[in-house]
Amino acid sequence: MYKNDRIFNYIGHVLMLIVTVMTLLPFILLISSSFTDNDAILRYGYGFIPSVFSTFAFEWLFITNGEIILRAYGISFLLTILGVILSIVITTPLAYGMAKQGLPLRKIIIMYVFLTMIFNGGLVPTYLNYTQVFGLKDTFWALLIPNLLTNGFFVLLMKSYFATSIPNEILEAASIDGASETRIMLQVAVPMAKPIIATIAIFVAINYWNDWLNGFVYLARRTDLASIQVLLNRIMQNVQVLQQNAAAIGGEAAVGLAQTPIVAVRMAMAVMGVLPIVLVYPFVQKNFVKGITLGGVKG
Amino acid sequence: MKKKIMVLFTVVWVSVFAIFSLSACGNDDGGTADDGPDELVMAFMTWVLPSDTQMIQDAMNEILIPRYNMSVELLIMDAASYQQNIRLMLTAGEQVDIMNTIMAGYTHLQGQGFLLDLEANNLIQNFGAGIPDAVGGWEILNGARIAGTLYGVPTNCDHAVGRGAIAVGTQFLDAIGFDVPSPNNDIIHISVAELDSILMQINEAFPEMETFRPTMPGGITQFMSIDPLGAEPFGVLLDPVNDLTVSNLFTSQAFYDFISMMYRWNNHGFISLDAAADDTPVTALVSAGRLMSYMTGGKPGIVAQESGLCAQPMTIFQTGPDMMNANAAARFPWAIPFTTANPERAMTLLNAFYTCPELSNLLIWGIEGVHYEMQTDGRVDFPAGLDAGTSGWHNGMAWNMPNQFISHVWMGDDLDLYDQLIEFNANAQISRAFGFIFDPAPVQNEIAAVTNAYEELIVSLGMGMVNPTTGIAQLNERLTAAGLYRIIDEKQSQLDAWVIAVGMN
Amino acid sequence: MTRVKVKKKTNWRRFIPVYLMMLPGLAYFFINNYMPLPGIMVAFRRFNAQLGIHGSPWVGFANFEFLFATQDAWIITRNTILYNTAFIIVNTVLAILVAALLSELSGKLKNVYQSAILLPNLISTVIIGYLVFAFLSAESGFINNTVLPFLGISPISWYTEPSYWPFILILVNAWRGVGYGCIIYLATLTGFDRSYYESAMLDGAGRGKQFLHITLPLLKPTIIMLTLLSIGRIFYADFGLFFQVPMNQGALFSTTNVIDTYVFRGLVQLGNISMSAAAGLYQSVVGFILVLFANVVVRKIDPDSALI
Repeated sequence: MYKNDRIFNYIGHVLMLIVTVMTLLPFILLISSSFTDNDAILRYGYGFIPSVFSTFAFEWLFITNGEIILRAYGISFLLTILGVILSIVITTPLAYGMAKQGLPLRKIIIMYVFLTMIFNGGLVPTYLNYTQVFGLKDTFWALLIPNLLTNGFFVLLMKSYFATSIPNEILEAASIDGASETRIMLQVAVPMAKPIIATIAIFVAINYWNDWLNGFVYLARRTDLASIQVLLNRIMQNVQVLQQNAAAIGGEAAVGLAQTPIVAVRMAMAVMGVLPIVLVYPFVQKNFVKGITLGGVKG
Repeated sequence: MKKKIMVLFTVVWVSVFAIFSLSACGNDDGGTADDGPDELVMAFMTWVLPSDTQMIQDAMNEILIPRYNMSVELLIMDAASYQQNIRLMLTAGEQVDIMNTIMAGYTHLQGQGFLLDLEANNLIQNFGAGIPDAVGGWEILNGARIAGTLYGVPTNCDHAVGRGAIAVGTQFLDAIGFDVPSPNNDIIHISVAELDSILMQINEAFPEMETFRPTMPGGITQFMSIDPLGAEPFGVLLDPVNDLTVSNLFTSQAFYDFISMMYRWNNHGFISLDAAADDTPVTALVSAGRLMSYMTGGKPGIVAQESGLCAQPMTIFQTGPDMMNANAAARFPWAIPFTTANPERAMTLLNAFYTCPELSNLLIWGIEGVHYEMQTDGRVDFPAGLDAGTSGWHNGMAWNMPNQFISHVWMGDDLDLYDQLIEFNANAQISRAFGFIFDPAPVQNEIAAVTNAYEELIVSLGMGMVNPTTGIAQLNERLTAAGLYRIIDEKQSQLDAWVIAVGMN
Repeated sequence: MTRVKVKKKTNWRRFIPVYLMMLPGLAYFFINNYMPLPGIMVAFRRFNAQLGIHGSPWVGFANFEFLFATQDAWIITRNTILYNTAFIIVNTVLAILVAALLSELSGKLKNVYQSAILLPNLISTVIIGYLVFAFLSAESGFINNTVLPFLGISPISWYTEPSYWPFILILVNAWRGVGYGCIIYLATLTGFDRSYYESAMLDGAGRGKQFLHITLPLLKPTIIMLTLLSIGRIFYADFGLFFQVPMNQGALFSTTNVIDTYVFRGLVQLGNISMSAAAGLYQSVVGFILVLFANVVVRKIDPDSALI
């Protein structure tokens, strides 16, 4: 039995290593091309090893545009951290309530949350709502608020965890002991739900980090509030829009395309978009893993 | 520990409420003060957002406030956001007083009620009196009318396009012994057969390089001597100068010949296998040393423009005539949207940008001594140490600004560039349908379907990757099924009505 | 897993703190999702900016016609549904397998795996498009220049041959999405009591048996819920995946054109707010009907896992 376990462990690690390498392969390509001379990319294509080594793209980003990039990083980090905290604080009690046995109107509330995943008013009405009713245009809140829950997905995910992984008996027992509902949630349910809270925190962080649409739509005047992904996507979208409209604009589209940053710079920016997460994630994960195992023991 | 969590939880939870209520009441734009100059908003796009917008705006207001008792806010967006954001902002009723209609689409903005009639209460006559002369007279201005009503003012730029133009790196021409005239400032007019032979020779001399890359599908309307009567060639005038019959381009002999030529060139190995999937700008490929020639559009200043983009001397060949399409003056005019604070003040501002050289120079080239320096011959150039990448205001948008003809000429262009452009527009062949603007509203379903079918087949056909006979037959079959002929019929009936309305014989 | 159903009188007072806790979330959904919702009605109007979204004239179902008045209607609907079905199956199976494997493994490398499989979520589809192009480019691509010659296969023109793209897109989607599903399942697994496994091992159940008889049943509610939610969005396609990754190649439309790309291409020139709203509403309504249907089926088989 013991030996069997070791063999399983070996095979498992080999399998996971293969998966990991396959996952990382494109990233090597990404990093390599960001360190390749742009003309060489255009002439010889992308390669796993730079055909002509160049740090031009990073010099362009850090020396020519260093201030903008740094500020964008600041916005991205602030946004992600604030967003994760607020999202979790809103999501957890809502999901807890939705999982509560015997709660009156529970089914209606679940339906209410579920429908947000299916129907949405669309970009124009959402924009009108946030700019005309709430005045979020050209504010930092415009980056934060529309993404807090986006739709019911994370709430339903957490509700499902509460409902299936936390035995109702434990909650009932706490209730009989005279603990208030807030207490039960914070001191009994939340510690047991650490794995799913950690997971959703990671997803929310990814959402905030990746978001660029809100920056596009709500920050027409305050472009200084652009996050790193807004900067990156500006470049990408410009290329695409120019090609899409080449027939309508005519020869001038070529002039515009020539002004957009070169391929190596785009790749370098993509690296910059991933890099901080790669650096920060192991620390975050270490703490999460601790949380997850703790939660596991208690359950 | 648990207490702390509880306190933290409560604090954050309460602040969520606070944020919502704060943001809900922080919504007062008190922009309607009675005293002080009127505040106007001017929206347009640039390729890349400039960094010195505030500086330019302040300099403009130093002129505008004393002269007109108004100030302007430059609301600049880049190409990607302009298309979407300007529609959103106008839908939300946000104040925009004058705007350029590029990307958002002049006819589509008008069709959805975004634009004001510029002649209501004689608006342009009373407050924009300088505009008709500035754009070259009412005959040009009338070209921007939609169903008889004027919603926009064209920019001063090249309204015609030199058809059948191709840019070739001069170094490759030198290598095959082609006699490039010196100085090489003008377009060289040659026949298609001569062009064919030139490309054949550079292809043989530099077999390891990519010889030619067509721009698809935009290149079709740029290259062929037809009038697409709108952006996409769904129902075209095949002989725009003489004949007002709307035809299917794709069944025409001219289209067959064009596609056959691409097919022949592709079979000779001119065109890269990656040409369709690779989105790198052709000029970047030339400057990287991978590509030798590509499609372009003829106009005065094109040699300098393409040489600059390719970072090497380029030679421009043209095989067709200079021709002005029906919608030439309606491609990206300036307009007054319905969210303007005051149409009269907006028109006054627009008039100022069309007639005041100081404002035009600020808008196009920036501030003298900061963004440009006057040279001894009267042209302007970067101050020492600056270039297009480091200047805070060098947008490459002169053609999209109201009136570049009253601004300085940039280094590298001919001193009389603007006269050349005026002459170019005046001498070009003009489509008999000039001034006709197609309203797509009645056939939107067909346009959506035809666009999808067209995009599915046109690129591989135009890149010469498919046999012309079978490929064109397939294209026609798909487009016909998608409703191309309903678009053609609609265009024809609108065109016929237009002919009667303008009283043409 | 038996649930004790305590029957008692509804005690509203007792639940007041619960409602209060839920209030911010419910209020948020009201603001973010329900307040803009009436705007959906613009799908039945001919939008005019000066009349506004709620003042434009009614046109009935005219804005929906373009979705059906085309011979592509069948292809885009088929592609959308088949791809999403394939994505649900492939990603779910792979995510469960990887999660089950990860939960059994020990050692420090485990953290590396977990980080690595999440990384693809952090790059935009445009960049993924470039990376795929780097692999598949006809002239300079890694596959055509290195892999295929090594295997003795002649180069393939990937961007003109639609038949390969279902596999490419499913692969790219799995590459990007498996990590996401995996950590949901992993969280669910770590939340469970290890004692189930320990007693199973004492009974002599092998790894395979444990997976089938313990892991899968434990994951079942999560699997069902995630699948139900995916069914609700089965008429929506990931625009970036189908537009950017195949580099918008016309030659590939027969296997890459989906509802979202069709609508984008058809409307990008027209810029018609009403028609794009109509497309979105159509996708939502069909998804809603399908998910309600699926939920009824689930409720018949396993009432505890049903969504509603």
